[in-house]
Amino acid sequence: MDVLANLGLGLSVALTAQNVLYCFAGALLGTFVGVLPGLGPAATLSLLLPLTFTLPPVSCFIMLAGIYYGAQYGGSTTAILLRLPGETSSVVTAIDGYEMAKRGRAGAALATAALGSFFAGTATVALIALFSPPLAHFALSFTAPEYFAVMVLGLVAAVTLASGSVVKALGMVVLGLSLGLAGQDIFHGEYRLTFGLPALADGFDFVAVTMGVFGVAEVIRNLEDRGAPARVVDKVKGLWLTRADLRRIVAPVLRGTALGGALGILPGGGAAVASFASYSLEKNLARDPSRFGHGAIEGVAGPESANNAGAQTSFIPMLTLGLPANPVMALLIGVLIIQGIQPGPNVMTSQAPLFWGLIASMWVGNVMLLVLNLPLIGLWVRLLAIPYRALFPAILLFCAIGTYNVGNSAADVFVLAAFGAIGYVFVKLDCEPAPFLLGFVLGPMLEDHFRRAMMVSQGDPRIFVERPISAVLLGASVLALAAVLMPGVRRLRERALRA
Amino acid sequence: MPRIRDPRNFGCALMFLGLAALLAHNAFGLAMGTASAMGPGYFPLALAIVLGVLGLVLAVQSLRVDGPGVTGFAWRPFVLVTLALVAFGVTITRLGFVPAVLVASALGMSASRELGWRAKLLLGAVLLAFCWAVFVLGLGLPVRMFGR
Repeated sequence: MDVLANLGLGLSVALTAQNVLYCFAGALLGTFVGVLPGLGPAATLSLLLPLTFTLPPVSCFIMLAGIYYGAQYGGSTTAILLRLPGETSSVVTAIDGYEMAKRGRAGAALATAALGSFFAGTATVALIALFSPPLAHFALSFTAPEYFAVMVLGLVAAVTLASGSVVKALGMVVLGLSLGLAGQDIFHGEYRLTFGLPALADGFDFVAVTMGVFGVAEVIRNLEDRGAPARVVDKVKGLWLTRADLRRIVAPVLRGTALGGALGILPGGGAAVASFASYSLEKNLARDPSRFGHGAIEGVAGPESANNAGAQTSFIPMLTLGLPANPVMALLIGVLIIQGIQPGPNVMTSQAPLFWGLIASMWVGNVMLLVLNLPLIGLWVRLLAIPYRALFPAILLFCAIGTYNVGNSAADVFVLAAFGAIGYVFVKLDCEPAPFLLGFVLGPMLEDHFRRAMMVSQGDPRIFVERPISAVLLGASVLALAAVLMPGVRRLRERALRA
Repeated sequence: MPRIRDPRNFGCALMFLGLAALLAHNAFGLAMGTASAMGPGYFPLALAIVLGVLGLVLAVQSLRVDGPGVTGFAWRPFVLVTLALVAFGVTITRLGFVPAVLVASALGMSASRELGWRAKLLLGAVLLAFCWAVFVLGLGLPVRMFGR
């Protein structure tokens, strides 16, 4: 069995003492930061990114994967205990999880989330190991037009999943694409959008832009004068599930895993949609749907499994096609590029230890979370009591020094400041940052493939529809876009995405 | 004179149109090339056109459909947080790590009205120690403590 041999290779990489340590450190740090109110996985990851750059690529990715799982787990914790979902994928967890916590069952809710995530994580690692190689192999036949088409599909998918106006989300993608082009043109070496500043010759620094839009903007938003924050549930006891609880969560966890795993593979799919879909599925299947919204344990088990499964299978398009399905994957693609690795189907063959080591470390990371976080829950709860006013200066400084640390350049810190301010304006104008970031990361690659394709066809745009794969992908993009613009689907989408 | 019915979408439209104009202006200064051999200005101009069209659509929409206004723009944190980061960038290369951290945390902390001066002093000291431990000691950030 090829897969087993490959997983063996992966485990041999992931289980070296050094990498286990990085995985552990990542999971711990990720949970630590993810638990802090108002910091979701994307923000956490961008905040901790600078800590990983000095590592060799494999360790860097293993640590980042650990941070990602930790942050997700931390996000569920704040959703359950404070009704403060760090990101859209734990919005539904907050509904019944917080109700359970209010009824003194916080421990059970947290344990359910952890166990559900663990099961989903383990099951989907197998999916990734099985599906990635054939997909990457298939993608090896891709040339410029196919890559262009696959990126368009990814960007369109990001648009259809953004909440609010489709026109706005499309605009955010194009905005991201445009700013991604800043810097020296790779074909001719001419400067674009640099405003004559030598510091911008390499474009806007990726880390600075991400930290600005996700970290700094979030800090400003959290400093708005709003009413008193939600009450902290101060005591978490009874971490063990009763036998009745266990019987109740088995089916939702299985269904959530299947649903999330399937939705996560679709480009642009992933955790958020998966958790919403799972919640409504469980509610529809329940014998007594009225319990939902009043502390139904199924309402935590299903969505938590689904979002972890979806989060994990969204690695498949990222690893095999270089296509990010969500901001976190966009971040990881950015890291690949910084580490000097060209994202795409070649990663699997040219970077086999990295590829399989990462997959194996996902599983190691999930185990780590279970053994690390359930016993430490008391500590995480105490962290929640830290008032935000004492926290945000640290977040700001971390962003500033972290950005400076990447390239030892003060200009990057100015970019950070600018994109923090721009990010806050995005928030106030109800513009989603996720499509923007996807566009920003994909901008240069999209232009590159577009140019190459047009060069091959000698300027004839029909090349994109004459090639079967690219025609199918572009057709799917058009259909997806047309679908969200149809009134019926539009209403459905609005209902599903409304938190 | 048509009334702006959806200020958020209108603002967003202005942002798109502004960047589209900037992008187009920048692209016209570069060689366009042809479709089969694109110059550096080709793709940016194409994006500028798409962005401009989207901006126009959104602008028209915002004049016809009602929407919520922009409420509670937090000017104080917006200005002070941005200023804190800019100050960090200015001081880190000129004055060194310690002054940069202190200046940035002082400006950053004043973004919140809830911190008293004693809390600020304490927090500033803790932050300095923490950042030094993580970045200088832990990650070996090559930076002078004081001076350039």
